[in-house]
Amino acid sequence: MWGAPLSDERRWLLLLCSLTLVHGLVYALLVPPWQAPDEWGHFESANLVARWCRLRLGEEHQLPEVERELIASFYEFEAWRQSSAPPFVLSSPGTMPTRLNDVPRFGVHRTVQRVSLAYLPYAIVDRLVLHQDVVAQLLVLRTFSVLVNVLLVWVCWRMVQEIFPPLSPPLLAALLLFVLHPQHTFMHAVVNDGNLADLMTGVVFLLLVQCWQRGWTWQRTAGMIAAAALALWSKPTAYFLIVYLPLAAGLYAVRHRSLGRDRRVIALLLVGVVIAALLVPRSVNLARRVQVALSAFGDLSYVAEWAQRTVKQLFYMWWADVGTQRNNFLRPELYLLLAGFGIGGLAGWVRLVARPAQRAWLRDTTSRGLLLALGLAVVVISVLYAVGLIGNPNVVGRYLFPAFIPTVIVLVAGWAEWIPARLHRPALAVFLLLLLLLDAWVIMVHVIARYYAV
Amino acid sequence: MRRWWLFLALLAAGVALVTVVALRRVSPCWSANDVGGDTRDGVWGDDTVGQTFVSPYPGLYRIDVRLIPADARATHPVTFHLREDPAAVQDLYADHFEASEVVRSAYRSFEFPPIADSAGRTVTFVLSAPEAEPGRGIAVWRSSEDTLPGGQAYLAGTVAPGDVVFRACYDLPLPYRLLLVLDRLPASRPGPWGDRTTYVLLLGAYVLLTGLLVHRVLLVARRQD
Repeated sequence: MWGAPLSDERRWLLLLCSLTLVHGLVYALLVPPWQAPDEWGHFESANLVARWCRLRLGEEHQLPEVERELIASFYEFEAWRQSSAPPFVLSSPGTMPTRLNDVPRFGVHRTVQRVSLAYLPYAIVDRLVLHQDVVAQLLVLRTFSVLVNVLLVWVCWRMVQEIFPPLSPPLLAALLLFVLHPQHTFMHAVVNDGNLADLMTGVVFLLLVQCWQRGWTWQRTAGMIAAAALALWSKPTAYFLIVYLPLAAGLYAVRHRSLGRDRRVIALLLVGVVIAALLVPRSVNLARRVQVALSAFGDLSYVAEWAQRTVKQLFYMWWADVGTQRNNFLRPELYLLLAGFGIGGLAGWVRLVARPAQRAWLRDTTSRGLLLALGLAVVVISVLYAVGLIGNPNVVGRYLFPAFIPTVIVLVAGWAEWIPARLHRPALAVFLLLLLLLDAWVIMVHVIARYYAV
Repeated sequence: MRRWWLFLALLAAGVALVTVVALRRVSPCWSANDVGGDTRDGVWGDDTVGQTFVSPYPGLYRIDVRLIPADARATHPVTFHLREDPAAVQDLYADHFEASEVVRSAYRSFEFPPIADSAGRTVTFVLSAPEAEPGRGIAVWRSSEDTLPGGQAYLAGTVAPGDVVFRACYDLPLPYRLLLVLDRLPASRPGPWGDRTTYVLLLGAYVLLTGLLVHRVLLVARRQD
């Protein structure tokens, strides 16, 4: 066994996992501490969970000494400078705030009251290094986020193999987009409450794809229920599963006409997801969110303003917005270009699934059905979040990352539809070139030049 | 065969362009002692404030010192002296300004002809205002803790604890700015993250793995169906 040479596929997997690890560490170490969306809040929550050994925290569990360490660290790294926050530079350290709530802007974005399973893995890791400096703890937790992303690469690898031909250019292109995507790499290189949800929804999609390809089994269904539950209990960005999974099951039923014994397994899945949804922590008032969102859309001026904001933020914060959000953009022309590519990919996907199989580059019927199902996931998550039903009404592109793997697959399949099949191989090289240049721009200009310019 | 050289050439050109754009945005200033400061030292009469430091880079052309405004009615001249050492009488460069020009607590820049061979040299600057009345002149921020290796603050020509709050700026070619970035990266970070070797190795590993990826993709791209 040890002497056997690696197959071509395993070499690719090893290379991609290694690159994900190192690429993630580049972002984790180059982006200064606290320069990620609410990272100080997520770190504080994970740290308190580690200290108190409980997930549900109240005001009585907040620790002034932890807050003082965080605030001292803000000063050490001038955290306000790159965060568009009002400067809280004081004439001397002796007059600095002692409680987080007294720190401008940073004090508003705390997550201690949020009950989330996402903090549990971070807390377990943080317990091992609680005695270390707060920045050392943060960097260890960031490294853990990167390792979670390596697992996600493996999930993506398994999924694309179920859909695309082995080691075909579209399969490799999907993996390259996943590994080198700047925003996704950044979010999975910092402390964030969405990373566990992204991993678990990825597992749900993988098991769904395997069920579709190879048949529904009790084991896969139980796995999907468990992964969906973990995702739902981690972050509201996973709530789209409650709507999506029944639709996906319905789509499967329509395409396969007769479910046979699959009927009972699918029913178990739906019941399991509903039960998991009902057990979501009470700190999230799902009914209230639905009510607020639906009532807001009665106002036409709100709709217009919402449309402009949503389109802008979806694009900006899906591709590359490194930092504490909304303040580290690429050039507008580049976003326009990326938006064009995105629309082209979605249009290509529509064309691919709509046209007869013999005229498409992907002819396998099951794979085409899967593409339809995964595209449905992209549509469901986008619509639900755009109208603010599930996530923050101020939607940002990274909230779509629980469906990142399906999105990547759909986009690549769509782009491949526009390119003649004989040009897929050279197009893969061009695609890699563009991705590497985009990544180089983000790392050099938006990370290094931005944070280390002075 | 030519098309793959074209790919590599485009990639290299693109990365080079991105690097130039990024490095041009890197301020060629060395933080030196850029902390808040906890002591104010007045510049008046015989009380001068000075600082020596070992310049890390060549091309020193500017020093920014954090000043505090004088009494609102003060109208005396202040002189910035650049010297070889604290005991020197001859100035390499001198700049005069009015105390009233300092209106808020902020950095004031003093520019002079670039010192091409400043790397590794000890440089001294002194602020003096002999016409200022005691208590009515500008003041300079100083940190009482010794935060600058090889640096030393001076008050009225006598060694004082800690270091003046200042920055030093350099007329650096772009490759040297990369050194500035490598110096800034590990600042204030604990353990191995405080060593710039970590970042050099990490970026090296990224370049190596990316190179392997490019190689494998080019092999796929060149294959015939």
